[in-house]
Amino acid sequence: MPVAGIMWATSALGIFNGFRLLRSTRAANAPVVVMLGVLCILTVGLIGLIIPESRFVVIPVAILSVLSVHYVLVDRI
Amino acid sequence: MLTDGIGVIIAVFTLICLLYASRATSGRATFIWATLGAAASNFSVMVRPSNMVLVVAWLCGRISLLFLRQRRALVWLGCAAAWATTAACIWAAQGLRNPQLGSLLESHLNWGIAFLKHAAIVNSDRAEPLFFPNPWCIDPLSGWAWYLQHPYSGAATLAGHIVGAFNFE
Repeated sequence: MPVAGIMWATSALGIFNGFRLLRSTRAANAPVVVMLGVLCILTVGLIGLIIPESRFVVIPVAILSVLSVHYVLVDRI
Repeated sequence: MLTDGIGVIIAVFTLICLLYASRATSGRATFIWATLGAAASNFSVMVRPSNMVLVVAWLCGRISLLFLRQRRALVWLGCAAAWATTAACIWAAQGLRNPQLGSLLESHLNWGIAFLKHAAIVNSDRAEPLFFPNPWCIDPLSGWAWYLQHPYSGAATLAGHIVGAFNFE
């Protein structure tokens, strides 16, 4: 599987796990969820307007990668 | 080192500050973590202007924290004081050094209309720039108005930018 395919799969799994975890998020952690959500949306929105490079999405990709690894390590092992 | 790596480090640090601020039991601890987070998020704009999104995300996280606290007025005051102080110190220097942020965004917008993505081809001794032309480009170099004048092409261009950025070829 090429690098591009692995990155798309990781991002997709991260998005899936992010929405799945939203249901079980405690109220005390709501600020963190809000900050991460706003950060992802604004970064992707800004990238949509300007001429992007792949390094510009490093913050959303980092968040989604952590979420996908969380799904594999915590929920599936 | 590219500014993206430093931006990620600051984003993680800011997130840690928000986490500790949300779990702090005393007003003093909340204020300290809020100050550190505000300083870090504001400083990130000096590292890279597009890190403005981190400042907005930090503020949204802080505002949502207010709904969890009993003494909201005190937390509001602490949040506003911490943010305003660091913003005044850091953004003043930022403004003096780089007063052309508006034109910077405008030029990036125009480049974004003309091209879908920018990459680099690394040869043995140097890197050559590689631009992917925008197939939906009509009448470029008009900034924000272009997306309103050509809504379908604009929507396709927005999607193309996002897909291109996430596509690690």
